Amino acid sequence: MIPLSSSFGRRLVWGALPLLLAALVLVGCDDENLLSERPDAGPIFDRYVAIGNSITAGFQANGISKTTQQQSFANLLAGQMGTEFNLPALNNPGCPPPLTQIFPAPQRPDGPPCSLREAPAPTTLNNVAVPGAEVIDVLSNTDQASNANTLTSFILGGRTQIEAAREAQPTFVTAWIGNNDVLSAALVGNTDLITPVEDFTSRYNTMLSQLESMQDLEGAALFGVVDVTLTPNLSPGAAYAQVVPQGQQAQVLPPNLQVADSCAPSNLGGVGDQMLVPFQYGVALVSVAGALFQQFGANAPAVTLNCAQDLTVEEAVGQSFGGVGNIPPPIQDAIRDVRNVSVLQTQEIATLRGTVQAYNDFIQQAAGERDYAYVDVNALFQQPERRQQIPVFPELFDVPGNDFTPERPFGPLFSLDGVHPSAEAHEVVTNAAIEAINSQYGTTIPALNQ
Amino acid sequence: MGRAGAGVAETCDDGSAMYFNPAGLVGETGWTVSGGVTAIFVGGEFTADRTRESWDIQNDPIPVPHLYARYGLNERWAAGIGVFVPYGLSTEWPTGDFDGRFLGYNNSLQSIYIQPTVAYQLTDRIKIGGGLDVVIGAVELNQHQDLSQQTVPSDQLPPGTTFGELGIPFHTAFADVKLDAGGATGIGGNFGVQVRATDWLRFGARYTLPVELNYEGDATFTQLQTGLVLPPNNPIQPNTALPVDALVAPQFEQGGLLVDQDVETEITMPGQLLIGISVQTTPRLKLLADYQWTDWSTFDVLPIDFENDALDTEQIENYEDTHALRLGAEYAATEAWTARAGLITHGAAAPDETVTPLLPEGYRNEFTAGFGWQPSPLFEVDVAYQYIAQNDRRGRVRDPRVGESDPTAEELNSGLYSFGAHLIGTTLTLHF
Repeated sequence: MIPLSSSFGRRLVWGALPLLLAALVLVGCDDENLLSERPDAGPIFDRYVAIGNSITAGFQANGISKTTQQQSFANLLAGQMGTEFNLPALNNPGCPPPLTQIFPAPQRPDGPPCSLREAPAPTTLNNVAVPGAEVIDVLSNTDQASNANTLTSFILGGRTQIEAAREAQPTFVTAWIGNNDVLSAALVGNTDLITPVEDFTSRYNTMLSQLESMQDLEGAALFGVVDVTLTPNLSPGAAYAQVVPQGQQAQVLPPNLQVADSCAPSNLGGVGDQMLVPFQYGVALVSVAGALFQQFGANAPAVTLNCAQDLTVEEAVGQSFGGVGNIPPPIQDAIRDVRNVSVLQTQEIATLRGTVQAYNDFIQQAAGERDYAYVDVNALFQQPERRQQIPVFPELFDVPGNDFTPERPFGPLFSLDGVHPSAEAHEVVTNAAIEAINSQYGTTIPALNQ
Repeated sequence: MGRAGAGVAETCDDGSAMYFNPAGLVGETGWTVSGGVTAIFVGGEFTADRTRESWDIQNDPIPVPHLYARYGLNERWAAGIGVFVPYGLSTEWPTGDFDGRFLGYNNSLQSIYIQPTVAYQLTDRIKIGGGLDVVIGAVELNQHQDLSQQTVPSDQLPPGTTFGELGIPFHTAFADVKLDAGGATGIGGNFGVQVRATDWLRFGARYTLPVELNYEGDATFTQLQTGLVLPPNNPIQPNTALPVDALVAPQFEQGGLLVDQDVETEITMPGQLLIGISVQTTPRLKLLADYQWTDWSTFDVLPIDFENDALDTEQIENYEDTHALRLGAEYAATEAWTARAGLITHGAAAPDETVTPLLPEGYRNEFTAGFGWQPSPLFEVDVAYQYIAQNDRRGRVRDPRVGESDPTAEELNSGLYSFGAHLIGTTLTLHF
């Protein structure tokens, strides 16, 4: 043994000390654990992208803002998946700001008609849905049939939805698209605006092919198209027959607004329970009647809702003046944007429902063929407990004995435009989507506590 | 290099003492001339959190030369001149879809030190030496520009509105920028002392002054096509579709912001302080240890000053001083053959928020080995190998975005950098 007090021992100590010190600080090098964690619900949800229209985008009350975008089912679903989800956040109060009131006159918060996208821009975009989009809009912004609008630029910045989705390299996609292929027809009472089923399926197939070509895609959920005739924006003429006298009694509706006998339910000899009146149609008649009553008082001409005839707003108002050509210019100006809106007659309602059924048969089959989840939204909202939450006529004023309130005239499930789901309805949709996805993929996304 | 660069207490006799410790230049009388090259093979990758996709560094081998000439006037005086490269970097990344290209995809920094040196044997036990460093520097940076962070040239929108606020996606490449600045010169110094405590124990220290380099060069801008078209009903041109590339094209034309122009920047090569010991444990075995402090905290910002002031940027670097321990061993196997080995443990200069593709730097261990062959007193050949094993480190591939104030490293960093290098060096030394 070498004594440390010896010359060589001292040399050894001086030389070995730094080596011991180095041994203490030398550590391992490679550590992939430093990468971020995968989503709680499984790697299939690593990168979730939502394709769709106004509902997926988070449009409510005829407007959209960061607040409503965060209430979208897509955002809630991503939260339950535990995956990153970036929105094309629009600065509050919105673009346009959501309505704060619809009756007696629509009101929005103070601010510009469209606030810009929020800065900073997200590094990736997960919600690529655009309000107003039909299936064609997922594929093209410039096709003659496309419906690109200001929000298309603000959300996609010159890309299509499918291009933006591809850039996000999704592992999972939800697609709730097709509602607008029938919605405009319903809201303006013109079934000519329906996208023919063959065009719809062709475009939808193209979209699915594009999705399937995305290398990392592991799964998807396809949502059925909403039966737009069930939205509370459309009310049966019979409901007008019941509510208008109550409103006149409460002095919130002008006395010269009349509901024709044809609007009685069929058991009373009318057709009022077999046709639908778009909300903007009814509002136009109320506005015109109110303006005339304000001008002429008790001598104001009557403005009549006729349920037996497929009249446009202009034609219905024209009847008060002996013909469309006699409508005074101020009244013409007041109805300019809605003059071609008409009621939905029985056959038109059947056409809309038949089309939605055909769309959904196709979507459900397409989902099945690809082992994608299918979310049946109509079944969800046709459950009796939810049907009871959807008023047949908006609660524009306090009607005694009615469960609804003027603050939420279309009930708790619909926002102030009577078309788009409320935040509460988005939660319902989220859980329905979770149930369908878990069932299809054997995953364990936790349900949202409502 | 074979003994991990340790040797501030006892330098090699090939003239490299001019860099490692100028005091070590005193010794033999007559001429010593050495020259060689070190080839650096850099490897590394960035792995993104979001996709687990990886992009590899694409550097070609980098040759780094060195040249020393010394003359021992007598036993007390020696002088010489050395040319060496103590600082330098080069990183080349793919340009396709690697997000880091917006920070820099082909970057290099060169600093050539030319150092006339003189050394003096002060007492039997103490040597001192010093040299004046004339430093020549060049820097090149190539990067893409992100359209989403640029202001929209339109009076239809509130002033200062960015393309990102119109929906243009983050990291939309619309311009390629090359900053090429060379010819920077600076003056520094390198000073050292060596003490022979006993026949077998020596101490040494060296201080290298920081050198400020001011670079002047050219910035070249090339438009890249985004292919983006804002559809009709867009907020700038509501009635028709608007090709984004046409909207920004005037920026690249005469009178525009992104035209070729002069550019300047400034980087300070940091100072260094080393102290070390050398122990001759047996007649054949020598052990060496150095501690090195490097003043990286002087690198706090990287200003880029364009001819058009609107383009000026100042990248926050906030580097931190580093500490390193170098341990080396040298074994004289025969009169002609010498074996060397060593290891280095080195701290990180870049803080967590500044680990970027320009230099994905971090804590590292380095292992060296080599040999020397001196078949005659007139010449010798040294060959060495060094492996740099850097710990994986989280880093970023983007700068803070417009509207993002003081993001944390956790918010900025989006993946993992792996980095390492193999170095092979050889030196031929002549004594006459």
